[in-house]
Amino acid sequence: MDALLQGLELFLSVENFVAIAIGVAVGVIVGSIPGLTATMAVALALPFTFGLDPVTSILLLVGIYKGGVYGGSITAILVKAPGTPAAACSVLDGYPLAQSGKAGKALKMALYASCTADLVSNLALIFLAGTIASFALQFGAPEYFWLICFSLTVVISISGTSLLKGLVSGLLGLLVSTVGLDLVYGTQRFTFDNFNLMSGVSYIPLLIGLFALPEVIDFYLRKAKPLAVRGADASRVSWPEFRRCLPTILRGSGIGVAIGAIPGAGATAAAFLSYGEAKRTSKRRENFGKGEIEGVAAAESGNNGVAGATLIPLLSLGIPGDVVTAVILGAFMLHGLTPGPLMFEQNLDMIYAIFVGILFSSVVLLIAGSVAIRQFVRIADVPPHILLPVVLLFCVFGSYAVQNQMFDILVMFAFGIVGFIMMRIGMAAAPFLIGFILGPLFEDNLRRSFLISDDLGVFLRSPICWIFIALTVFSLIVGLRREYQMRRTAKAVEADS
Amino acid sequence: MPPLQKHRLHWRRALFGVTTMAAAAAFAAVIVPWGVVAPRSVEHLVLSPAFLPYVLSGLVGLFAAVHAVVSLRSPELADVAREDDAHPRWLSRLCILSILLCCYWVLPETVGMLASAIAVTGGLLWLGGERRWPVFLGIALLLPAAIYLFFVTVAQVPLPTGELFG
Repeated sequence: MDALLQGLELFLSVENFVAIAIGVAVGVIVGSIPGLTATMAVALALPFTFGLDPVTSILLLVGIYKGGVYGGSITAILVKAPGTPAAACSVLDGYPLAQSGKAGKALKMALYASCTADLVSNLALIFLAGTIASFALQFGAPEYFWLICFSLTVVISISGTSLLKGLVSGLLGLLVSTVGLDLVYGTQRFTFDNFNLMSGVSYIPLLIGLFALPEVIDFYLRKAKPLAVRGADASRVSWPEFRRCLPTILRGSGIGVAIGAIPGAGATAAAFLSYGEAKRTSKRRENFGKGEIEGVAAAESGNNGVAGATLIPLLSLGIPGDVVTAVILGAFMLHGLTPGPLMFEQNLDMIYAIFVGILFSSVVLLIAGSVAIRQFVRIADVPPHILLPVVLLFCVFGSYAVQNQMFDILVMFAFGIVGFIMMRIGMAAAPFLIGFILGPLFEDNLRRSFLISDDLGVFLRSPICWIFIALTVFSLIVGLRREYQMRRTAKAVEADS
Repeated sequence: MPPLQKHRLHWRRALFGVTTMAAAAAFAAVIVPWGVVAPRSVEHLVLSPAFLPYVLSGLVGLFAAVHAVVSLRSPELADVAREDDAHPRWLSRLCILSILLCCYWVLPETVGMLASAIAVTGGLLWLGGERRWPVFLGIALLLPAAIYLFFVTVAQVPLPTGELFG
């Protein structure tokens, strides 16, 4: 109790409130710019924390991270240019909503879902950190492998109107993820001696190319102006709508927390898994992909549910779950602190101060997000022939910014052409992205499992493996059954017409 | 849908399946052996760097074959609703767009990213039909300059200044 009071005392300073507010605001702005990620913003902000108190520094960085995770959805919804890979899932329903004149509604639902998921994630961090961290520690290569297999089944839900094309798209994404140096033998795969490809295809240029560029190309080759996002609207999320989406948001938050607590699993998988689950269980599943508000809620809750949870392995075990938490770990170390069990004994007041600050950041996110929406929604008013050259400008600068090399611009253009072809032949781009993101994890854990043991029984070694095998099989059966039913309906429609 | 159009749609989908199948076969037969350097002996087949590319190409081919067969038998919702609204001069516009996009790849090393961005943004505005000169100049000059400044000063991204100006 004393530590809690000391923690509150430590937190209650103007500097901390200002740091969170600035952090979240900067994060939202940076996250909304394609190519500039929360990771980049956190890394750039690190030098500014040298002169600050440890708690203020950590809260500033966490604020940027949280704002960045939410900010990615803004341009994903408005102009189909996701600011972060995880926000690509918000494109699926957010962009069609924006096109039908409901950009405000989509953005507001994204904000409410993000804040709710962020709060749930923070509460999980505060109350369940120890339990979740010990669960996450039980994940070895075979457990990860089955988790990734389960995550890959989401391809069925995001395949659009053709499951087979969706599967081919997902496989192509997996294939592209194999480019680069082999992780076990260090030999070259599809690099053709090109130095730029040694570390694989950069995911930010690929993401921008796959989603944003096809819209640009399509606009200039069409007779009409189909991209015209109808005027900035005052559409709101009604209470019945929010209540209807609340179970989806809570489920997405839970998925986000579970995935976020496992080091390396990532927000993209959480967002797509949450979306897939929402589509599987929703009464309006046929509207998913066409502008269903529940789809936006599912994607954003899965995405933001990860934010607080990634701090669980960091604070409780000292293990960074992703690049951002690795940078935050660096900030801890700069101030002479080492996250982990010892910190809970030696600096408990500081831990409580950080917890209170993180909880407060959810409220700040709601305020900053509401302000941002009011400004950003005006983008919807801009005529497409003016908006698209500017979008392309951000795409090019953002792609270059990833590694400061021209090659990434070429990668963005190449995948823009791929995305345009996929768009024209009715092949969904989202499975490609999920295949590309999960591909390295899939292959790495498959091969690491074989390195652990030659025996195939290694894949069935623990209850966690069995749980994920059951979930994978269940998800496959339900998804395929639904696809079969859809085909039958389509056949009936065609017969009637 | 008229029977002739339906017949064409089915064949088009089947053609996609067959083409993808052929591409997957060519990939497995030519690109994988050429592009993947595999050690002479590996402890386990799965550990070979070529294992996953072969499996994935095989699966792409398999699904493409299934797609080709299924396409001739049952419809797809997207194809039923698809409409063709290409611009009458889409080919010339495609050429102009390709040249403008190439500028972003070719010009920055010589004239710098800012000048390239101004040129391409201006070109795209013109292609999009913007003919109001104040708007045209304002957007083509000021916006690229503002975004360039943001990236260079705030985000600290060293965008190319070009050999001419650098």
